[in-house]
Amino acid sequence: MQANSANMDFLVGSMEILQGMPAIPSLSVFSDLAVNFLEDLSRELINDKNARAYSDVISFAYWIRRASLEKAKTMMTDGRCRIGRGVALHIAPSNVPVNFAVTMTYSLLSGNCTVIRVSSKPFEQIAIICRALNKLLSGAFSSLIPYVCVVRYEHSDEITAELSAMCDVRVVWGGNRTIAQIRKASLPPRAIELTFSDRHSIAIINSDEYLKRDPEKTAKDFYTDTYYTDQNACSSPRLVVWTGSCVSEARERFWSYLDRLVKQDYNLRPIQSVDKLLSLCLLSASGQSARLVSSDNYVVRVEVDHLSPELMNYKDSGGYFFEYTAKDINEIVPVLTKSCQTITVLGIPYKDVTDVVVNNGTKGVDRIVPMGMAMGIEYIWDGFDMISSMSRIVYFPQ
Amino acid sequence: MTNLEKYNKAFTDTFEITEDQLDGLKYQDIDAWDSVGHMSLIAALEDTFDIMMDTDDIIDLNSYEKGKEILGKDDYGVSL
Repeated sequence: MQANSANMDFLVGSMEILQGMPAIPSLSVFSDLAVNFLEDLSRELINDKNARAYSDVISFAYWIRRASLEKAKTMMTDGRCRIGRGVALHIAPSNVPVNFAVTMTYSLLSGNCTVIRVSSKPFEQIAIICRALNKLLSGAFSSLIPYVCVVRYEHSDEITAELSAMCDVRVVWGGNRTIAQIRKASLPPRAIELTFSDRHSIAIINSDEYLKRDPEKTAKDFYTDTYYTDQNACSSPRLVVWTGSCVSEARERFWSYLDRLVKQDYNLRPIQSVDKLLSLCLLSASGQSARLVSSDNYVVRVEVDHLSPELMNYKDSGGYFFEYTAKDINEIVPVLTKSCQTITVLGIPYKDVTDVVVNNGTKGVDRIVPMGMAMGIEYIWDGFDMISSMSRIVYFPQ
Repeated sequence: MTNLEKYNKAFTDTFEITEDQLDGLKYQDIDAWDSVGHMSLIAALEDTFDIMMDTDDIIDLNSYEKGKEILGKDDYGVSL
């Protein structure tokens, strides 16, 4: 089957380019062509005055700068022969504007022809990045033209089926409803699929270590992990677990510094306050013992005296945190369900957390990062090595 | 262009300021040098001098003068 629907808008590329993709040779992993293209894209965006107002665009540009790509390439060089799988179809999410460019980066570095369906929301970030892509493709990088299409179409099972029928890799950035919808379209026999479903994340803080740190910087880091995305990102902590011997002193300081920052910088909408209240009522009605320990709507904290797998069914965003004090780090195991993605740590060695995961065989936890880095962009996401997953290995005995 | 001129240009282009503002300039002294501006500055310096900076140095580079000291280290060998 060929893609032939007329109802697709091309932000980058054209129908002709899209239809030609199955016949285009794959590139090797970290090909000079893709790497040079991304380096120039980085430069283009950093020098674009319109991009400066968008920290997510600049963070993306910073991530694909030459030094960063060189480092990533070294990590991937293991003597194996790796090449793109063919055509990769990406369904980008509607909540994180720059995600489409991140998934494009994985895909091009893996050596694939890349088709990305972006959200129909008219994000300025998408316009800025597509403008830079078009400028490079129409200039020095015309040889990459057959490899990139960015499309927009209203939800259409027909178009999704056409695109799916021609792809070798399908990458679906959640949520769960989108994944279920896209999965109705079948894939060719050899095609593989990566899905990024709804997840939740938690933070663990060692109180003794916290008290040795600059409380203002920690508040900023935690704010970046949470409020910066309205606490809506999969990697934003919803639960804060305290350990160590000075929990009450640390908690008081931590939340008071955060409170100050939130009241100064965060634009709390009335609907968020209502939602938070509703979530608290639903949690209480569920029979779990929970205590509201905050006094206003900006930073809502709900203390619980035990952790259960169901607790996260009552999570919320916009500054709504469960809080738990643990005597032993293994007490967190019940919330490390399949949906648990990132554990943000402060003063907790990574090994302590991986020990909990490995010793208990938990189905969740794909990532452990320092506080402040929850929103970081990495080559390993949701447990997938993105470049390995989107490419194939041409095996030979070594 | 001398290395110093290139170094100054990375700052003045990135932050859209003039050379007379450079002496004593520190991180967060001006709106343009916030955490986002810092990423642009690092990218500009790496590009200008064809170097790859260590994460620790990227964090330590918190003033115009400190940047000169860091780039002058043997790792980068940019004499300013």
